[in-house]
Amino acid sequence: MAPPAQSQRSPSPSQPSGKGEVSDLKLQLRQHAGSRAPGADDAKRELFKKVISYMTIGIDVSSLFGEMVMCSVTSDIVLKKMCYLYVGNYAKGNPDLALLTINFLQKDCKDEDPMIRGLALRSLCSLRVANLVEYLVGPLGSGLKDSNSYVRTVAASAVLKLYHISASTCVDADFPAILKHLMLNDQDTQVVANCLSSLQEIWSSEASTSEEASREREALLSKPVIYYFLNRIKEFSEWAQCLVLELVANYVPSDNSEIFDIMNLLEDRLQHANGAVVLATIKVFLQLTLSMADVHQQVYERIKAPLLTLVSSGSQEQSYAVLSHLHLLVMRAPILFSSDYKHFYCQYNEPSYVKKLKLEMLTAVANESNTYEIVTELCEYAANVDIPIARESIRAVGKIALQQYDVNAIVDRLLQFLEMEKDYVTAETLVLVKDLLRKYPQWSHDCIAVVGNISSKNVQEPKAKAALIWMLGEYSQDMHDAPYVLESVVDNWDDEHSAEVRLHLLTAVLKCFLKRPPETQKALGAALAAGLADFHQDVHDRALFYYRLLQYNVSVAERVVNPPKQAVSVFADTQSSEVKDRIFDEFNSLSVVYQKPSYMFTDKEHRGPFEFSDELGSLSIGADSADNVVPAQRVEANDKDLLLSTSEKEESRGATNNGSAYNAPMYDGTSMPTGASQLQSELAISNTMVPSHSPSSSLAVDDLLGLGVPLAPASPPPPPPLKLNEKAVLDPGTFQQKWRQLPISLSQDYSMSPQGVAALTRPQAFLRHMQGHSIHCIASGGQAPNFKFFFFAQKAEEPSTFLVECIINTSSAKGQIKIKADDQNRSLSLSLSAQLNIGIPQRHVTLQPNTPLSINPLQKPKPAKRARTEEIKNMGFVLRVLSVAKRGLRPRLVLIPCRSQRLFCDKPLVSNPLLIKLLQESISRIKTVLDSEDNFTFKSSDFSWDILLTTLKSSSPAKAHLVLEWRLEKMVRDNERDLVPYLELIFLCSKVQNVPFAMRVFNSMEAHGIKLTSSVFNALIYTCLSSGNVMTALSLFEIMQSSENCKPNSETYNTFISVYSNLGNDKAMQAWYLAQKGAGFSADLRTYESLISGCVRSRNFDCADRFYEEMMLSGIMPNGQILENILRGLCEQRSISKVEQLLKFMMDGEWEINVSMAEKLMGLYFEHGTVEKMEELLLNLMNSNQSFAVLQQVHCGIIRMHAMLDRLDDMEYSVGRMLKQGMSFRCPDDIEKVVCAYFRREAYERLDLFLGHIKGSYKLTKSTYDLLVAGYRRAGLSEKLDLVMDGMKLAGFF
Amino acid sequence: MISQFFVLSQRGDNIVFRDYRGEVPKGSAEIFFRKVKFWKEDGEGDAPPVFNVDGVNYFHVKVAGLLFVATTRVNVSPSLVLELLQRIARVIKDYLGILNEDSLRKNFVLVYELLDEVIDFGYVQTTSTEVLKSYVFNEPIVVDAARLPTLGPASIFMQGTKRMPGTAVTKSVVANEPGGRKREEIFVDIIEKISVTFSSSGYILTSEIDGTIQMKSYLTGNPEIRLALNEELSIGRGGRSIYDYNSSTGSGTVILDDCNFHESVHLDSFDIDRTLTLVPPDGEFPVMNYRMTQEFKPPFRINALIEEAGALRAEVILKVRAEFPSSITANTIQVQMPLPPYTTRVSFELEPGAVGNTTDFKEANKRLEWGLKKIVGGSEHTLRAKLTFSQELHGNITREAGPVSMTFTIPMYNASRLQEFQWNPGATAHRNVTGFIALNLFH
Repeated sequence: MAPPAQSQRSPSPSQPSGKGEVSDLKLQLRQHAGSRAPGADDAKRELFKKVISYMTIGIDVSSLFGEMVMCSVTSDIVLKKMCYLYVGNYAKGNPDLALLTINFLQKDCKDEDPMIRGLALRSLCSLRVANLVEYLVGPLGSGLKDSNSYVRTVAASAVLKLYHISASTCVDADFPAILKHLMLNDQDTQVVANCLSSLQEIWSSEASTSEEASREREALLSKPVIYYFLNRIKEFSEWAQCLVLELVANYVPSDNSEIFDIMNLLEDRLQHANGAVVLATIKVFLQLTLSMADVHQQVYERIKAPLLTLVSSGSQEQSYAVLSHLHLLVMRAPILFSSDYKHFYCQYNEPSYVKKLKLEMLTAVANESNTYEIVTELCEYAANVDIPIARESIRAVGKIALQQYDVNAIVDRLLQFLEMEKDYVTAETLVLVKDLLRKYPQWSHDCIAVVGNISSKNVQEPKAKAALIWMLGEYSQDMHDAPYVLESVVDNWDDEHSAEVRLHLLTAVLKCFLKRPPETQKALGAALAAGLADFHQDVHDRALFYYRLLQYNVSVAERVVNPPKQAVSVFADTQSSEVKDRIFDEFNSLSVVYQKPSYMFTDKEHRGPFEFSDELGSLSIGADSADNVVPAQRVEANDKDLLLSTSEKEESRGATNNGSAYNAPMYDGTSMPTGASQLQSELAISNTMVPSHSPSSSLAVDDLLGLGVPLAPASPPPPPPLKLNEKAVLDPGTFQQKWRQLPISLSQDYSMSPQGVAALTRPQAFLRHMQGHSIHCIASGGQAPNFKFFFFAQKAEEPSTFLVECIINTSSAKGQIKIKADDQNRSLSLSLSAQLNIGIPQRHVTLQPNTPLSINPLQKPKPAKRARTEEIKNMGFVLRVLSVAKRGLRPRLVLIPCRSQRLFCDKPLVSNPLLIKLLQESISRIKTVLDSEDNFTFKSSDFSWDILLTTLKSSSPAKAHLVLEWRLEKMVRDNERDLVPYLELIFLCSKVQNVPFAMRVFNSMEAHGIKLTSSVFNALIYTCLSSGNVMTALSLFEIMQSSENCKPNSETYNTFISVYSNLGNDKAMQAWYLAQKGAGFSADLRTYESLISGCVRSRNFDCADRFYEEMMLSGIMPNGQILENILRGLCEQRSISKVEQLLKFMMDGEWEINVSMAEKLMGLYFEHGTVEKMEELLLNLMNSNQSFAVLQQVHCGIIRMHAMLDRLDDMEYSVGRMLKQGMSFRCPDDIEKVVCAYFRREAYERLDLFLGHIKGSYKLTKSTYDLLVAGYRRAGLSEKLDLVMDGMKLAGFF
Repeated sequence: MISQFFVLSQRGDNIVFRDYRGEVPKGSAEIFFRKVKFWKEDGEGDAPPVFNVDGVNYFHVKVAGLLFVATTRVNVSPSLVLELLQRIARVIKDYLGILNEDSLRKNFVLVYELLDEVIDFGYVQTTSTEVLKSYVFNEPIVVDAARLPTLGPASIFMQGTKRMPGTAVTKSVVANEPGGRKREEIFVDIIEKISVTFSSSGYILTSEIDGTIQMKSYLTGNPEIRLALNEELSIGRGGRSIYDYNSSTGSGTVILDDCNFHESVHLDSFDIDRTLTLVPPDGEFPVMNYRMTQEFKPPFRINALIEEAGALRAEVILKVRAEFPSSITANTIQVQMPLPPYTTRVSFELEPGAVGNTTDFKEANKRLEWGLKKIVGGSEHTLRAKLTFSQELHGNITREAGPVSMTFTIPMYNASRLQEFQWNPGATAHRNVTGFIALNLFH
């Protein structure tokens, strides 16, 4: 219809000539304004097009507004749309003229054509002019009720537009409620989707001021709503599906079966071609299974393939977004991806941002089995045309070397890099070699030989030069011409621009001098002279220091500069695990691409509807003077740190306050709950205990931070260390400004006691408490579980101000305090933090029946002063343990090899008539069945509650719970007084991870007056820990510490140690070990078992060896488990000589060697390619009467080895020997290796013989048959092929 | 949610610019363009598709030399936005037939109309060409395809495109044919990206096929289409890799590592007879993406040999052998090889009697390019290139050249043997296979 625009004067719309054109257009538009002539519409279209093209390229055509509106009276829909676009763009700047458009838009909203109604409504609400909102309500209301779904779709998002123009108009017209109704009832899914997105935005922003809105927002996550969406998910468009999935990811299911239902329902979404849908689904899966370690791991396995497919399909940009997420997962669980390393190889034409990610992944997944190939690949990239990538690749090689895999080969590679003679390659390599030597000094000999050949003139980059100089100094005794090289560098002192290099040079020359004085003397003199004359402060000072040191005493200098060095075992990780967890929580968002949590790059107001930080962002302020300032700030949205929004309620309350410029919020007592007085008293009590007035308490905090300040002697408490101004005044503007400018002087994380959490349900009480300490609140906000407060305090008699941000999450009972201060003195901030102290886990906690942990202030007399110091010391220790332990809080992958968690297990391992009966019965009849069951069943020796419960739990947790309940009831009925059955019951709870029930058992023990012992607590702690509830476990531990009869014993510590060992968190584990020692318990066999297996698990072999030695020294004999772990560690370190030693020890001590040990050994020998060792081992084992399976393992290993090397004769000999001893192959893998060897050597006859031999003792598997088929087919041996086929048929594989 | 969407030309002009929420300050297009253009100068290679400047997140994809950009201040899903940008480009292409700067400038009003319906207040409404048809009233102004430089297979090497552009299909989905008739046609392209790494002795070290079955339907009345894939197709590699010695023409089990499907595809009978059922929506879309690491026989075998010939000279010999039956012919073959950075001059020598060959040395990025019009199955072609260097060689020259990559189109052939047949009475079906091989030769 539209004729091509050939006959125009301006050749291209992108080159307008400016003002003249616009006024020209104005004239033309006027001419056509009222015209109804045929063809007028076409002419108008051309004109409109021009106007819009000007608008696009940024020429201001707002002066045409009037003319455009006049021309818009038309029935031509294309013209209408162009006009709407224009009006939408300029109305905001011309509110008066915009009024002109209202008329025709309103008319169009009532048009017959639903298309026009929709378009008009959309444009009407897009005008963004505040004084026109009154005209919007009517059309919008009828639009929501329109019979046409297109109009309703438009109206649903138009409500949101209205909300952004005038929130009050929108809420007053009750639009959110209408939207909610539509969302839950409309037939059209796009209408539903738009309602959902509008409501999410509206309620999130309303939630700060209206409780109802926050309730509504919570209701979006309620089960019926979530299920409503999930059941319809396939009807939604792919984009709306993303919206729904994002919502579901925040849903907290009530039990595991619900989780599996949701995952099953969504599983096919993983095969969607739209990457956004797949990632959103993955997020749901990951979030749902966070608490189920093994299922979580299965999720990883399941999502791997779809992610890889997405990476390789779609555009470069799309695959980058997916790759970033894959990167995150790989970094979290490298082990799970270690066999997929080939997918992370870089391709020549990939952009560098993709290559960078891939290099990091390759580095992460490197392990003993793939290192060789990965490093080979990385070495290829070192010659890459793209220099930054070449550098990254070399660094990656170095990182792998530092991870301890196959260092041997890598060092050779690195040294080869040095021979490439490319400046940047040499530079990067030198830095790496330096780091490598710091970790593995044993390589110095090889490295130094090569490094010595590098001319320092070819190394220009400061970092590389510094590294070279460091090596020259450190190894000057091994490098022949080190003194002369250093001398020549010193000669060029003035040309050396980098201070870092000069600093290193000074140190290196001195080191060299101390080793080879006569040769270096000249260089040292020159270096010191140059250093003293250096303009750089550090260089000058170091030169001076060395000079004086040498003057004072050369041997002291030697001790200072050249002490024996310890190898560095671990290099620091750059990103804290908290940050990593935060990013993981924000899966499928930009946080993953930027590799930072969202608070680091978004303004608070722009965070998503359900993000943690968003809730913190909605703050209310209680200042009467602020109401003029604050709304402006909100609209301007230019603030990065704070959003202070005004709640009307607070305002009116504030107004009654007083006339002062600013005051902290006051709350009238009527709004307090009935239990307020009780709360108050609790807070008052915690007041005396929270160390607000005691100096030693702030020292405890010091201690926590490792500042090492000695404890003050017990003396009457001096006045508070920090006197605060009770009537401090600060206006919000200043606060905001200061908060933005000042650096954080102190940031601390706290764990809170349950009663502290309880108190926070009424933040007002908390605020009052703070005010009692002259710490004033300036803004607060958030709903459960997240609260955020901003406080300020002023020092008495000084203008110095402290600003405090306090974030509390009540569900995890954790808090974070950030303090900023005018006075940068850190200790002041520290004492303030002590004063602020909101609820460090309390010591005086007793367990009471029927209530969860709660404080009971009346029972406990005030502790004596001595005891108090003691307690404080204790607390420091507990906090230290806590802070270490906290890092292990999140479920990590590679978790507990849970014996109890067999969730996906399909068959019960032990068939037990009772179990089968229980599985079939309905839930309501469980107890009856148990009652009716004969008592003998439970007493018989092969009956195990353990197995019964774990199996039962995998199919129905509710039934398992009932069984437990039944047992408890029975014990109560029988009036059981013995401790043992109860203990047993608590242990059973740990099997099914039912902490609440364990607590119930505990309560009923107390109720029956059974004397509590440490072992009861130990059992409880074990239950908590094995259910992943670390906080409760720690609280229990504290209770034990403060109790009289149930002090923690060695067993308690062992429990913690073993759990952290299973979690692979060796830092926390060692912290607990130290705590155990500190508490005066010596480690026993079990401790060492946990410690060693934990160290080996986290690949900290040095520690494992150390613990082993320690254990041997203390006279404890190892058990099989320990030996296995040590062996594993040694095998992974590839130290064959140590392995031999250990083996000898085991043989001598007649230890049993088990199958997995044998496997490890064979793996090690296999890698070293030493058949002789294998034979030796076999002989030894045969002599020491080891088990059948172990021997078989070794036999197979030998055969495999020969097969791999194509040594057919040796192989056949070994096979024959094995068969003679009555053993046969263990797995098809070994047979296939043998078959492949035959194929490679084309020895088909011998293959037949071999197969004939083993036929009697081993049944071939399908894969072996497949292999044979493939091999014969390739060789073209059709007869044999047929034979094999027959064999397969006989074996029933067809 | 998205705040703004705009399309920039290669020079940074706004071609379309739409602000949905008014949250991002003015001048974002300039800020974006400056950042992308000068990214390299900071030594970090290309600008990543997502970055943040002053709290504003910029997303972009490059399509046909144009930058499709979205901005937002919210922490959204990057996949969602990038996918959307790609989808917007595809919808526009469906409408205009050809997507380039020229066609976009001529049709910007139509594009605005589309954008109005695709996104509302930052939330995606629909990206289906089919659905959009009922809301869009502008007629596309068709740009003459003949005047355009062809987007041959070489365009695959253009930055930002990993995938071949859909081959011959450059007709608008909505525009009427000259003469008012509409042909009942459906185009099915199988595009396979083949990556192979050979060891120095000629063994295949790694091989992977990333494939897409792409469809563009011009059928009226939305008939149901059935695609029958290779019956012996299995998905997911349960076991370890087994030897597979079948030739590519014979039948045998095809094992895909994984695949995904367009939402219009019904998989009801897929498990039984490997048939996909779908009602193809208007416009171009991928029916299925798949990934395969099973061993296969690549359609071409490439040999590259570099020999030093004195201190400043070397010779490259490239040999391409077509390993498919002689009944089949491959078209528009393009072979490329990066040469050492110090190469200054290259002279080429073709076999006597070679026709339809083009050779070129791209000075700017030091790349050798060799184009062949067609290769008949079973034939072999050789190119000799004499290189002159500006500096003396040291070290291993083979490390600094390569890898060799090639693109080609072979009608009625695919390397993965994932055959498909479509069944649709009364419609013309076009079927095409486009491949792209990247070979790393010097391991």
